[in-house]
Amino acid sequence: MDRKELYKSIMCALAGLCLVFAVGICVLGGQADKNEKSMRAAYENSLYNTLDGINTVYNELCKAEFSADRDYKRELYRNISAHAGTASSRLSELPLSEKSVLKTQELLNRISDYCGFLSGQEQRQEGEEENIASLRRCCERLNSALGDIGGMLGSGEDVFAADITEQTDIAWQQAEADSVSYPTLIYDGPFSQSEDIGKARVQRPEVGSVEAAAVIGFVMDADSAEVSCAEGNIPAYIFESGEKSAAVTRRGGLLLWYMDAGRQDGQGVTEEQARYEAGRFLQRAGYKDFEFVFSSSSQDSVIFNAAPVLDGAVLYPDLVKVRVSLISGAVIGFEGSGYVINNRPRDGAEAGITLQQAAENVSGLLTVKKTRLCIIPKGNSEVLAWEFYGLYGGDKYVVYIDAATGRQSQIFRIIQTDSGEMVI
Amino acid sequence: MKKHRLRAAAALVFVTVLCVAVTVEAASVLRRGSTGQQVRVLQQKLKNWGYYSGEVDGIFGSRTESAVKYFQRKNGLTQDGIVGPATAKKLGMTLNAQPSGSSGGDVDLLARVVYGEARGEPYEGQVAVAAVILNRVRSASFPNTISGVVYQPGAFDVVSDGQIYLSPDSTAYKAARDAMAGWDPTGGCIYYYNPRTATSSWIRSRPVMRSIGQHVFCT
Repeated sequence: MDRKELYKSIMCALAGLCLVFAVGICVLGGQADKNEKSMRAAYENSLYNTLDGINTVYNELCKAEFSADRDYKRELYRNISAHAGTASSRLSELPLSEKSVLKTQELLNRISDYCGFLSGQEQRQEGEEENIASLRRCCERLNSALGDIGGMLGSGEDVFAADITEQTDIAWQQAEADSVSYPTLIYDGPFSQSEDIGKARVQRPEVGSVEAAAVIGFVMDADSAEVSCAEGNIPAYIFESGEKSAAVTRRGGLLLWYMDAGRQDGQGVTEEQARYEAGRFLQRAGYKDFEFVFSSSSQDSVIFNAAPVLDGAVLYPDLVKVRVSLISGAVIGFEGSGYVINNRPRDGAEAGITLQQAAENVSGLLTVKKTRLCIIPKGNSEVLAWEFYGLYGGDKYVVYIDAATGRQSQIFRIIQTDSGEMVI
Repeated sequence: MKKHRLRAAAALVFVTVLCVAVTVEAASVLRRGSTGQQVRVLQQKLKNWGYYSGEVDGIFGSRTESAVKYFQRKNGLTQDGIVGPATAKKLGMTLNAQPSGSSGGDVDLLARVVYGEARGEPYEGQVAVAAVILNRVRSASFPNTISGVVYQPGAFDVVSDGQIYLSPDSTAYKAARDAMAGWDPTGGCIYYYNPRTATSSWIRSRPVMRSIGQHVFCT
């Protein structure tokens, strides 16, 4: 090939390259624009749904405030709970900073939870009218304060454009600061603002770090461990030594949790051998007279759930967990927050209805395999219940019948996952 | 002359093919880096037949790759260490179109966040990161699902920078499972940050409950 031909070949190739790049930029640029429009549409859809949701909740609260029919009121509460929950979900999709929408998120979640609780109450609850009126006024103020954002949206402005998002953020923060204020809601639900939630129900005496170290001496070398203090709902001493770490409560000196992340070696153990080790661990950790209630195993370990028993009733709120390696047979985990928080002196467990009476309220579709009396958590309190464990359609279910009223209290389905059995 | 023009045309085609961005939808294959239930099924089958002696952990690493190649050699297949349609058929498996790192459930999602946010941190710290996410689900101030918490805009850097799409290791999965089972080394915290990199004065103002590794955990 002579120089001229070579030069021509190279120029052809370069021209082709340039053409390809030009086409590529157009195609990619067009795609980027399309993506941007899709994102804008998605965000605006979420914003519309959030604002509509807040407005609907406000309107339904207005009706609930003066409705005189209890059944109709409960229906309204169910709707309010659903709309507030949906609005909360849509709010979390908006590209606004967490701190901007914290109060609105909290308001919607609390309205959803509180109204969900009220919808299940046949009787009027203490403070119900005042709380509903206050929540209604709060929604009214928030609705009004968010009016500017709603106006911008309605006029076609891109409220989430790069140069405007920060203003929208600030506007929402201001709207919250001006409007979100409602009384403390104390009721039987997970979002109740009771100060007791998450804290131990029993005040136990304080212990020092030396006494706390003695509690974990059987699983790790407490003398060489680094010791620190953790605050929060359950103040604790934290001990860390190599791959092992443990927490002992500052009140009562109870083992709160333990983890061993070290590599496990061994020939393998059976589940029965693992259960024996779990039982020994509980005894040595001070959790005496616990009964194993169920277990879930994954490929290399098994978690045993254990609870104390009172008058033959298993105390599920006081549940603790022990994880045992199926490779080495060693205990590699313990979790005891259920016991630390919920355990307290209880009256004797006496059922108001018999097992046979309770069984009448269990569906005949369930093939019952096992029954027992137990105490189960319900909201922030607990109930004595008859437990029916059985099979239906190849799946495992657990049904709880309130031992005082005979009404169905809970149904759980047990499914098999990669992590073992899960109760849902 | 004609020969040279043909060469130039060939060069042009070659360059065009090189430069055009072609998005090829990933075939349904399992390869090194894949994770999840299908990998677990693969490992168990190979273990049962004596090709694999490692852990059945759902992570397609070098040992799994070697086992696949061994199986392929014994079965007259191309020894590339990749489980494509032909190898899957010999194994008696059906592969779903599922790119590596895609979410199969809450544990998968939690594990991906833990891996992105806390790989290299002490195990306790990894469990703590997963626990913060679960504590947020339980809090009235945050979304009520794990995916809602994780994907809330601006909440986690790993979502905005794409690290959430990396394949988690077995430690991250274990940490996610322990947190789902109730382990919480933070005592109920709903925020955490790295004091060396955090720039937000708001997050720094939160009450600190404890430190684990590089992270500080707060309420």
